[in-house]
Amino acid sequence: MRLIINGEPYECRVYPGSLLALLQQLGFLTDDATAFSMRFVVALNQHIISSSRYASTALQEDDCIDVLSVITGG
Amino acid sequence: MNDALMIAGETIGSRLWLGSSLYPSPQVMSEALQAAQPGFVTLSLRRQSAAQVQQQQQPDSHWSLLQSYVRDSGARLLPNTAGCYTAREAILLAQMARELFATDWIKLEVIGDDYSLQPHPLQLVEAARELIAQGFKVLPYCTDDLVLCRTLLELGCPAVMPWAAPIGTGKGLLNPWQLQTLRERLPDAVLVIDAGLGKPSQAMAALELGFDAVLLNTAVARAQQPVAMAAAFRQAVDGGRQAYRAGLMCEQQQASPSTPVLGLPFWHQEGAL
Repeated sequence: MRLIINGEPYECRVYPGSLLALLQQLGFLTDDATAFSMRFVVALNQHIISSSRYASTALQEDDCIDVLSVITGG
Repeated sequence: MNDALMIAGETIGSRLWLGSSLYPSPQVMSEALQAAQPGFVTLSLRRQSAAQVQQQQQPDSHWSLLQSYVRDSGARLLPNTAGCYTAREAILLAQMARELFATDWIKLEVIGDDYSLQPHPLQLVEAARELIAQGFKVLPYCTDDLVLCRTLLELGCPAVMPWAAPIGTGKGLLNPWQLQTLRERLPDAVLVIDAGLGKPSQAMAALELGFDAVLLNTAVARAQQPVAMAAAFRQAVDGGRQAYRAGLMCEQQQASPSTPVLGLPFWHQEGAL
């Protein structure tokens, strides 16, 4: 399955099924689905997906996923 | 007499607002924040890998120290939309910032020119209109154009933040006449100088002109001693505000002696001798 993650092409060898599974596969989340300890925000095709919807959000071929987190700024 | 800065119904603890970028280390940033005691601290968000996100959770990271400072001081986070060139980009980034930082405050930045980093007035207005409709408290980084500032205020921005000079230049108040005009023509607006300040004296001058606050980053972070410079800016902002409230004397062309001449012996008598 081909996705675009943070602007780069990404080939999933194992179909992740849901956004939650993908975030676990990429290391943003632990396998424990309740452990949303890391601080980031996700957009799927330029629409924000809140953490409560990770598990119910199915992925499709060529979806664009952006994972953003804090940086310093002026 | 109470001189608290109120914006959108909230009391902002200081008239000095500080960016979190460009410091030599997270520790120096943290110490500079302690010295400056800013009302807002700006920060941003970008695409990151899992490893980068994890790094930000470490206790000595910028983010951890910043969170700790904000928790202890009562300062507010002010996420920005730096790097956006269209209203659409800025709106999405603002929405993501709200989700990430759990705040409605946004420093709206939409750039119109690569070289000068001049804000794009049309895209800025479009983005501000939409974000205000979505419940954001929009603090737009804008030019010192009077009509633009007025338009942003009429849209519902609780303050406007005109530049003094292009971001990171440290050139200070390039057009004080225009800034003074803004103060005079928008007497009830909250006006914040954002960008271009390089010295504490320039921050003080902005406050003396009647600006309500200043937002800066590079002038502190790139100083040889950022922590000492943060303290210097704090004092300058306090001094400038006090001077504005005290009421500056009117400038005049002709000299006038401050020491009374009445009673001076030999007053204009030299020719008579």
